[in-house]
Amino acid sequence: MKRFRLLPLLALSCMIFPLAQADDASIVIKPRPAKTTVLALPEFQPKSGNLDPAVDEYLKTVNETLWNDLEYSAFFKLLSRSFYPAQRIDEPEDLVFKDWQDQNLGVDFIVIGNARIDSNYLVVQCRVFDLKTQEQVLGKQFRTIPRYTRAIAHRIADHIVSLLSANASQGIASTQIAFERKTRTGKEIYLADYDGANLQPITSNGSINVTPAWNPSNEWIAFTSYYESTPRLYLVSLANGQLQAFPPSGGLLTTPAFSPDGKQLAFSARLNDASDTDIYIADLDGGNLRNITQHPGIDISPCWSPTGRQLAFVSNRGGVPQIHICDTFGADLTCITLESGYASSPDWSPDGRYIVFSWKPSRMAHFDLFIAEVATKRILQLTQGNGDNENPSWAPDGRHIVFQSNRSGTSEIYTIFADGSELRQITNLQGCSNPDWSSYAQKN
Amino acid sequence: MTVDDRHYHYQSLVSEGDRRKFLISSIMSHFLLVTVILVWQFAAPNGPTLTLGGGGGGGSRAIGVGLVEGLPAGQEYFKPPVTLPEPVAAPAVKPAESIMETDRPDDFLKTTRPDRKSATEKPAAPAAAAAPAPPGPVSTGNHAPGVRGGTGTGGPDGGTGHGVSIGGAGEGFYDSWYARQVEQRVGSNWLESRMGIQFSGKHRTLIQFAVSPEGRIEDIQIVESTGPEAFERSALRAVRASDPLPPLPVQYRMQRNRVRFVAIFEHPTP
Repeated sequence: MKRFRLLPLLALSCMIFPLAQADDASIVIKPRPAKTTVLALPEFQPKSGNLDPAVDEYLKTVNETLWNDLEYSAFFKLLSRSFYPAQRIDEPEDLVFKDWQDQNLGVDFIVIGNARIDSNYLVVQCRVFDLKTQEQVLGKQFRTIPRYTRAIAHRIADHIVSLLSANASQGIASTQIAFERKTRTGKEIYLADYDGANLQPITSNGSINVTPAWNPSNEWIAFTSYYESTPRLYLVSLANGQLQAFPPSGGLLTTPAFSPDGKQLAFSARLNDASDTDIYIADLDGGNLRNITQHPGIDISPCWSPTGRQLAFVSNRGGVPQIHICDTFGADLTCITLESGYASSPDWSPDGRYIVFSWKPSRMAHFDLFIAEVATKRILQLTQGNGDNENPSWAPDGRHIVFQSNRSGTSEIYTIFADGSELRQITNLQGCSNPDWSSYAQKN
Repeated sequence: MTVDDRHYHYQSLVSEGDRRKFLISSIMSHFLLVTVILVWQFAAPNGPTLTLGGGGGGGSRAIGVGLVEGLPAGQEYFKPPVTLPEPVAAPAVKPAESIMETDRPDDFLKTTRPDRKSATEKPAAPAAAAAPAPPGPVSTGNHAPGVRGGTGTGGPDGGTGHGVSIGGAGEGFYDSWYARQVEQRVGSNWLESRMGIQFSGKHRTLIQFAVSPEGRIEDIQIVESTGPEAFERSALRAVRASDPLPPLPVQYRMQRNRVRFVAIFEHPTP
């Protein structure tokens, strides 16, 4: 009981201490081009004392997944394991900083961890140390059923990315990608992790379900379904599978896109009394429906700017399909592409500076991915000479793009860095298209 | 721990006489409890249903079983702070929900700085790479209120290999990963925000800002500037674009409520 007597004193000192430090010195920084941070990632080990051999298999998954996540994060360079000291590290006590501070290795941070089985639960501990100051940057413990082993690795990767990029990204390892998959009877909406693992169906109604779109909080997916005779829009809740039909109907509704605040839906529609396809905006309950492109041309594939004040869409009003931008009332219309060839499926980058789209410069050419800088209309080519590359969608970190390509013969989903490097194929399912990347996963 | 285990545990802890007293008081409290419930139900048949949140006396046994029933590992649910249930509705869609995340493993505090080996190897790292860093701008303390000359490893006259010029006390305290990562984040934002503008001549802008424990950037102000307005604006934009930063590390938080930074933007970039 004795130590409790000190509590008031402790509380008091906690209150006074910040005040005493009120006149503080500043930390001086000199902003400069970012240098790539180099990480060392020795394999996580079974925690000493762990007797369950099953942990080895889980650890293999954790080690593999974490390495891939960090390597593909676009923030780090991972030092090859062939340079690592041979010593096994599972606790911080095993870490000999001198071994890792070798200037030739150039490592900035080291990630270590261990795992054990605790009454059927997998417990993973992870720590990150700054090799310059030997400070612990991150210390986390995760406890879950073994089925979520990969999710733990993703979670660790996201924490590391978020901290060491100073929040430039929150990490995309726990994000997911929605896409349509060809089936025997039509097309169904599927979900997969950002790396293609954990494939799971969202719809299975035997009809044609296309153009999935995430809402900003990752709770709903909007999509077009031909389940009734005419295509209309549906919203499906990922928490409980509840399905809602989007009220405007009668006509041809497709390509939904949630506004950044999640309260409105933009879509293209040719309603019954209309003479052409236009872009509409409506609340999620179908209220406040308005046509923002009253023009006798075909307008499709809307996407929102991250501020929610502008939309980009495809329109053939100039003769050929091109990417146009306007505000949410249809004013301030400009074309950002070159008024030639065939441009389609725009997606606005999370920082608002770029729009990625697919473009077919001439009749004979293939579709390739291009990025347009919105302010300058400068255009940069991402893919080249490998089949048709279409329907791009940005990752929430603005550093990755997912798209569909038929370069392997069938249409599959690929991811790529936003500078056009580091291509990865994430599906091999004979016919996947129209991917949409989710927002950052909610950290609970 | 199963119920039997716990019972056994009680047995071994109390003496024979105590156990009898314990038994009697348990029976009495049970009797009282049952009476209360009966009276309640009888008096208010349509009233709210009675739910039992916790146990009292020996009664905790039965209720304990009720809580554990149907859950995969009972032990888990006796640990107090984490309130993440198993997902029932759609387990496959949101796996992240069922991971319990603890911020600090129990042994965290013990092992914050293991293998910390005195001063012998400490100076090695900064010394090796200190050469390219220019004379520290911190010495211009008159222009930058709040900037103090310091005695730390990255003192006013040098800066470490990363060019973090550091004012203030505490050995190595400010030379932390956090300051370095903030420097890089603001730096990459700055390069973007001045793209397309060619500045000629030498310019310098000092911007002071505070970072809250949650990592929010507050109180951005220019403390000194010799550059044209466009240069100032690019620097301001870079700082604003870096909000929010990650939460302040514990080491910082123990010392103060917010941490002040001064970012020195120079053209040409040193």
